[in-house]
Amino acid sequence: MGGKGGGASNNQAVQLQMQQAQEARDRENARQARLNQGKSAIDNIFGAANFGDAFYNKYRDAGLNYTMPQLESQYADAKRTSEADLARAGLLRSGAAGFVQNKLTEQQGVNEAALKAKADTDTAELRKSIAAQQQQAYNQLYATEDPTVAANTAASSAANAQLAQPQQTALGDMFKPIAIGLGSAITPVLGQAEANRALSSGRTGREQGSQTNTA
Amino acid sequence: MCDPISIIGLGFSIGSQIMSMQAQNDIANQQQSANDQWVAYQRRQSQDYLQRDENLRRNAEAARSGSLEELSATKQTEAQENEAARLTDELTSEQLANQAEGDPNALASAMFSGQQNGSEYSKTAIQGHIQQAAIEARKRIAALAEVQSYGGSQFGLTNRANTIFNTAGQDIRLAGNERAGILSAHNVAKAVEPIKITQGGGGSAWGGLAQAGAKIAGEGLGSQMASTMRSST
Repeated sequence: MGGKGGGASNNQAVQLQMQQAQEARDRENARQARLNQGKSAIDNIFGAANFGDAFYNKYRDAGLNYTMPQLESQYADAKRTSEADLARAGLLRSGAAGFVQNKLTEQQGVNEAALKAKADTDTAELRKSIAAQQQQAYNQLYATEDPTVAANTAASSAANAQLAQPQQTALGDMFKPIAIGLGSAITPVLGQAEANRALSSGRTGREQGSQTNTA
Repeated sequence: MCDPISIIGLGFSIGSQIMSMQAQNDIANQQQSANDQWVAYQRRQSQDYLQRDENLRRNAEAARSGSLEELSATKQTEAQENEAARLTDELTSEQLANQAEGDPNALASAMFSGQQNGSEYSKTAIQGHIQQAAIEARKRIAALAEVQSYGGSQFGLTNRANTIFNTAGQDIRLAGNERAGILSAHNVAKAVEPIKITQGGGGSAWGGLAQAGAKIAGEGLGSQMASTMRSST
């Protein structure tokens, strides 16, 4: 390097290097300040104040608003069909009717829980997607402040945030059909023994588990 | 008396020494000038590099902050709602919309053929059911549109965010690539060393002559001193 021409020249070169070192320190301080400021801005944008429960609940509710009416409609249809079948079979006020009602209620509860669970996991996917956006924003911040990071970011940006799509098609049949009026018809659903028991209790007018007063 | 050859040698040696010192002084001055030029060159290169690097960094920062602004919750919610509205419109058939709004023709077209000839009371009741069903369908379509507007629909949130990130990413990567290039160029410039001025033939010749003159003078004076000492004893 410099300074080979005597004390004065050497001093000049050292001064230059010291000045450049000071400038480098100043630039690094400024860069770190920008990084901190940028990170704070990203944290703020993607924080709970902006992307909070209200944002995610809106998505979950939208999903439920689409699926739950289908379930309610199918439940109403299944109930109406069962009522009609029970009435035709003369079993409307019987243990069989109670059994059918139990099955419908059970299926309704399980189906409703499944749809809500699906809506919840879909919402979790949305949270992941927003978190991926936040990560992308961090990556771009570091790529902006450090050119050597830019190339690495190029590779990772191909793996963009993806939101797993929730249930968008019709739900399909959520309730198992319960044929009523013939023992053979309800056997596959209830099982032979239960069908016999239900039908016999229906014909005798006794509810399952009810006390019979023989006195 | 002194030997004249020795005196000439001594004079020649002193003269050559002076010439040699002048030559060295010239070299020092040239080296100083070369060093000054080198320092000025390094400063210029450094300032130029820093300016260009800062300009490119600002380009990248503009792209980055622009994308971040577009991803704020307000903008994303607004975009999602607009997309939901667009999808609702796209997904709802005209017939269904007319039925939900109570258009008599649309409602009548959905009735079974035999129902057209029924009483006004029954027709009104049936059409009321159809309208209600259409309203319910529209609600569900709106819910479906809202769900889709978060994800993979054309302008859904996720697609929108990816587009924004990719667009900004291109500018950031371009700036990053250029910054890496100018940094490499700057490193080459930093490796440039100042010109090293070395003593050429002229300076060293004067030194050699001074040495030869001094040798002659020394030999002459030495032999004279020796003869003086012998004669005195």
